[in-house]
Amino acid sequence: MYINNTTMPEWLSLYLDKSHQHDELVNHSGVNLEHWNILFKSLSSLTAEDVNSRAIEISQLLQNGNIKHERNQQWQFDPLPFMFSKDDWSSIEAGVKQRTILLNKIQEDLYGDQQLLIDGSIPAQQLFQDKNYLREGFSLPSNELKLFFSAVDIYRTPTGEFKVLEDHCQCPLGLGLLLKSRIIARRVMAEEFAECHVQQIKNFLNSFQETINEYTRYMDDPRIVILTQGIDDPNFNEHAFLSTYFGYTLVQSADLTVRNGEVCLKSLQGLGKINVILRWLPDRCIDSLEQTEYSLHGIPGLLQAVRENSVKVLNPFGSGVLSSLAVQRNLAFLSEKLLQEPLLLGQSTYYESTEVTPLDWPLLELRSYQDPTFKLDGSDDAKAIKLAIDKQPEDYYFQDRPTLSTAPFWSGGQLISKQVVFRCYALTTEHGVEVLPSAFCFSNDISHYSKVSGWIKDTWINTNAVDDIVEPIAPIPVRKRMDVTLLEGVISSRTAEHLFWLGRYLERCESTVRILRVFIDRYTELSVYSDVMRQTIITRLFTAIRSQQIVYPYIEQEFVLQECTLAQAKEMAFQLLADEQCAGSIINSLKYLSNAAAQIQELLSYDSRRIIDDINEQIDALKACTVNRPSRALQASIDKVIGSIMAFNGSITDCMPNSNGWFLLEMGHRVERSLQIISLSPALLSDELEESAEIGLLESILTSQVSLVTHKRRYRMHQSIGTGLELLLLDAEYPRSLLYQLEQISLLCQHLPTKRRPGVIAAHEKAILLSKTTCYVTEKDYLQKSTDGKRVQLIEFNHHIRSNLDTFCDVLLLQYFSHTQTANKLNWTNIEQAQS
Amino acid sequence: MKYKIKHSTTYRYADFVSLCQNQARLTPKSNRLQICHNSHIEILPPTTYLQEYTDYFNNKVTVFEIAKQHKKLTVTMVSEVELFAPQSLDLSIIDMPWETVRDLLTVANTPTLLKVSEFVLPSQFTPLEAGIKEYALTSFTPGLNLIEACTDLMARIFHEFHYDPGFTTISTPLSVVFAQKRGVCQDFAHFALACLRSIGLAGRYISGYIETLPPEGEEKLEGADATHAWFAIFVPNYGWVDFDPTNNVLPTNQHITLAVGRDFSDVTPLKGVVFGGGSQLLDVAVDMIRLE
Repeated sequence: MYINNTTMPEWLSLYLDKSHQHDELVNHSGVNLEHWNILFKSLSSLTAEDVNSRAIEISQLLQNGNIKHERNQQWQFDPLPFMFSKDDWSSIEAGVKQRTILLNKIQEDLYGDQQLLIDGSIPAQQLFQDKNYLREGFSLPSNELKLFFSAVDIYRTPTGEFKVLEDHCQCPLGLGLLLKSRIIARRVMAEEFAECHVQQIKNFLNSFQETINEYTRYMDDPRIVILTQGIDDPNFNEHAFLSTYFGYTLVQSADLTVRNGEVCLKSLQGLGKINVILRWLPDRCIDSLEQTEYSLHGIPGLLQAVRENSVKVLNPFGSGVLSSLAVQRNLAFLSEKLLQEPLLLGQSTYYESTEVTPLDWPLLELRSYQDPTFKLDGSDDAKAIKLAIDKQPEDYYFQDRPTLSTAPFWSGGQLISKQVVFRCYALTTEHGVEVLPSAFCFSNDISHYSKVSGWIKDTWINTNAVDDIVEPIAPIPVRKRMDVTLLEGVISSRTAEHLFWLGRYLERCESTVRILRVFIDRYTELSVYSDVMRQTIITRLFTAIRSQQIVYPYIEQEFVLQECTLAQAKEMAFQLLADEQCAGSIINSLKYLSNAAAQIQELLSYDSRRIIDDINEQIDALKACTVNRPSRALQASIDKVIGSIMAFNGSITDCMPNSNGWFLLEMGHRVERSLQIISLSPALLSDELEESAEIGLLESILTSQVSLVTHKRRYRMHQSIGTGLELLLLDAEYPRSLLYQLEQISLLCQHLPTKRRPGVIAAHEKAILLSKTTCYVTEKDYLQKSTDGKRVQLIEFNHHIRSNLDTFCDVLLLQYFSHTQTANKLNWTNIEQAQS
Repeated sequence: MKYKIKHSTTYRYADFVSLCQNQARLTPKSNRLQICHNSHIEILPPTTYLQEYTDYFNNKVTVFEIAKQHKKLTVTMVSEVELFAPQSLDLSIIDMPWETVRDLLTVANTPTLLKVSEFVLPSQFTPLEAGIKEYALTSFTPGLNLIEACTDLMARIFHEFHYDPGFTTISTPLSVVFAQKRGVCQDFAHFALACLRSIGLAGRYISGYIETLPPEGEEKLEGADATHAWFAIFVPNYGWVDFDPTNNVLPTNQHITLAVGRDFSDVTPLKGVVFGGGSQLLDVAVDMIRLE
């Protein structure tokens, strides 16, 4: 024990006093304890409760930033940072730097003149069989074959040195999480952060962007995108986070297409050339035309665009081969050969399965040549090992079992030790290799928490405060070109479509909730004052909901009255709220809403994402609902739903630059609300009834449209069906009227890129113009008039508007969202088919 | 011997295709046994993009794109190829036990041998199946001359396997071909390659054309010639020697090489992706005309 624990709080000394064999804090702090002591000095005033409250704060912060998704990884972030001593860090930094330089040299040779294969430094046969040795790489420009951003997992051995566990040369994960945890750490541990003189990671991130900018130096309007598999990728949250952080557009393969040897983004404006793709996809299946391994996520023709030098893909194509066994096993030798220096960061020794005896097994683990995920522990799985190597000894090899060091993690009110791995990041730039002065410190020790996919710590590298002063302040770089991150105005057609639908779902949820409220109100009233008039109103509302006329999908049909009992009405209310079988139910609309929001989460603010998280919790709560729930509880649930919807609407109004396509969200709102309004009156008011019942129904409609008070005020002297219809449908000044919605849609259409010559209006605008005109020229008395007890003209009026709105949506889909077509594979010409 | 080759491929779609992107390996190679004097690719509807590049196995690849609505796509390659092979090959100069070649390939310490050593490994269509090695060793007896052993292997495949168009498709696994002893030229070539590779020898897949002669006294029918496939074995200090197990001949002046690779997947004559289109019909016609 080196650490002076006389001033330590109990929670810390308890951990230090436990027996540890291989702990970072207890056994590996070295002679110079300065780095941990600074931290503990500032933590010494904290009680266990303080740490607990920090842990809770952190977990809230971490979760709130993400939209939760079942497939997403869930990380637990520790309130205690990890501290590297200066000595440890400088040896790691030098090792990572050396390794990155070495890997670059190897890649250059492997996709070049292959001297390393000819002289046997790398076993050719083994390399040729590796799935990541990509022959397509040989026809690409040679400057394509350099690493850009790589990572290496390292751990500490019991003797204190650092060794490598794994290289990540394709799409290194964790940078987003590291950034996020640093942002949280700086918020929760602001004082300690300052006192410990933690090295900043800002410079590295600047270099990251600068290096990308280098590629677009001579371009006027460069476009940089982050390519992700999409919402199904377990790391989608990270991709979205990086996209927001760097300001690069987040795209999926369906957003891109290759034309004339150039990669283009399918956007509302048409096709726009892409200059740099940061791929977070493996390169083995990135081009579904050229490569044999077919993937839905591939972009047909991408490699040809790279070959044409019209696009830069990062990490460059082919870098996966550096993680292959053929390379990894020989790194020590390759370092001596290519760099004339010993490899600084060692790694496991490998043995053929025939080289070792069962006596050696306990210190080893068995791995497979074929399956990189296969791993058997030498002592625990001895039986399985025997079975495996008796059958196919040549398929397996042994390697030293890494003994990871442990570090303290806060769990259940105390510190427990968990094994840790450090992922260090390196950037290859024109000026050499830069190493991120922090690490993604994580533990996969998750036995007790099935929901958590791992634990992470922010890693702090202590700088001497004196150094900071001596260090010259870098001059502010003069911007040679436009700041690419500030470019707006290009969103993919897919994003545009999701925005449109998000607007529609938001509105759909809101109006369904309001209808449900009215319905519950009316039937509870009926149970107290049962009379014919109230019975009539409930029957009509029940029928209209049940036949889905006034809720999604707003079916237009003949009105056939269905009587209902109170119990049936209650059941209906439940179904409309929480039945997943019911198309227009609130739970379904919320699910669609949440999904649409997740698809565009990189455009949402932190606060908006938090609300989506709340909505997801409400979905779960609704799933657990049963039909026996009392009406009061139903009311409470829907109050919560509408609260979230309102909050979400509010959270996005402030950050809606229309150039980013937000007007589509507004358009979605307006379209859905129009559909809603025109579905209500024909369903509920088309039959002429006894006046009090009619007015009762009208008031139900007005209540559901938040217009009851306005109606009463405006038509103080005389209220009729006609006045109600006038307010709801024909008043261009009233913000909740149909005509007002249509006027708004018409205005929003101006944001859509026009594809017609001036003077000619497009089909979707015609549809809206027709609807508007119909509203303007129609009188309220015309709509109110009934023939044989039926308001045929009202039904026709609404039907006319409805068909125009349908046309509008169809044209929008065809003209602006339609690029979402997916590629089919052409039957390959087959020798057999041509055989005579 | 000089030939003019016309190879046309037609796709007919049920619906409109809005965009198609393709890669064709339809340009005959020039090597020490043949020269491609000129070649011309004609694509209808006209392409909006057309480029060429040379792939890893030195085949010429034509990349093209049609970004215009169409319901029919025709790709026609017309080329003139001159063959230099004599009537029959004199392979008696190759006097090498097959094991010597095998051992040489395990070292692979020159650029040439390194390239060749890739063809020793199993590939997608030539996996190492049970029984194949035993089948190969029946021909490759200890100490036997490489060419003699390979000729024997070819003859055995010719006699023991039944030529049966329609029995296999490109996705039929090799094990089925081996078990049923049925297939077409590409299956036989794949099988022969699996045999060679199972015993450490290098073999490559060749796609090309073969001239068919009409029965005595009859006119040759248009489009009656065929795309064909065979294999070649690597001989140190000599090069690749072709074998056609479908016809039990050593190709000379009736076989034209189009492309080479580890197996069919490396030499697919035409592949592509289409957007839209629905169901598709494929039609291929080859004409091979003797010019002199």
